[in-house]
Amino acid sequence: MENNNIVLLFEKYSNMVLRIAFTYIKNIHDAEDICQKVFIKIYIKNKTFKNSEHEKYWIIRVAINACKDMLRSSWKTRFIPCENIILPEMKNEYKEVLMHILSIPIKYRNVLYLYYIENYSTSEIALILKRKHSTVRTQLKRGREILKAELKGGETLYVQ
Amino acid sequence: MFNKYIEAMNTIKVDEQLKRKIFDDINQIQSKKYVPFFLKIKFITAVIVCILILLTTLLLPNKPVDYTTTKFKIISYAEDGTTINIKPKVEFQLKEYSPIMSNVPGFPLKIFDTNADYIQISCSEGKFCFWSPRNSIVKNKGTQTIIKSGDTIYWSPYNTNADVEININSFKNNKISGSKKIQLKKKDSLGIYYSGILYED
Repeated sequence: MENNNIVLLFEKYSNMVLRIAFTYIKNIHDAEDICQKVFIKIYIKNKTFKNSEHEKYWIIRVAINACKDMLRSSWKTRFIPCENIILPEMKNEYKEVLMHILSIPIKYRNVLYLYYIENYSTSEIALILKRKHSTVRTQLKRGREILKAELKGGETLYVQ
Repeated sequence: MFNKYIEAMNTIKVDEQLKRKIFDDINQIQSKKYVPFFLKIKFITAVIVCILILLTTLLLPNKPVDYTTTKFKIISYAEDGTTINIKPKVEFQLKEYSPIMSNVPGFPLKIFDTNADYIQISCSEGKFCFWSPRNSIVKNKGTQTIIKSGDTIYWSPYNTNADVEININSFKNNKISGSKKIQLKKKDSLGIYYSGILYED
């Protein structure tokens, strides 16, 4: 792969890969490791794409698979507590929101991410995540509901 | 809520340090001196697995070679694969026999001598056995046994690694009325491939 190409891909998708990895792993340091792995993989594979959409789909899939590999790795499953959330440096109000988002199950979390952050439609999300369209729609609805319930619970607790 | 989520996620960005780290790795790949860490781990794992397999093989006690479970092939002299009748009528029912490939317990020999009271068959190596495809029970008969005309007997290599001689004698009134000799000769030093040769007496 030409140096220019990888630089362009990096400029275009590095933040997205980092955010996807963070959404999955809930740990910014591990997310950075995954981001590094993904771009090395992209460089080594030197894949040609049909169009920019195909390019983005493929990079999202590579990122998701890298996250799954990390979660599956025996070292990770044995020695790192799953619920160990490590957030990057940011405003407290953002941290609060992310803590709520990251507390919901991954199947809802990644649908919410692709819908709200990457602006994909539910049918596109179904293609990327290799799920049924109806499943994605249900998961999006359920994810919102869980999040609302979580926020209400938090507010009630705060009032008391 | 979701607006804040979008704002929060937008603050997550790759910093200069990570960018430099990634491009350092890519530059090292370009100069072909660098192997990514995950590839190194895969390579090291593969090497360890190979060493373990090698050690396991070397440390296991040496067992005598059991040719019933190794690739062993007998090739009869019938090159065209047809069954051949030889005097006193020994029928090779298979062109080739291999314990791995075959669903029979040995090399089948069908022996006919309608005039004989009984037929004595012996081998220098391996063992004979009777087997019925219907009930799949194998009856071990050792290196020498008596059969009737028309019986099918199976010769199995077992632990042998040498040339094999099979002697067939027909008896009438307790006197030898005819005899034949079959030699199964090794075709290679490992004793995996044998060929059969018939000697006319």
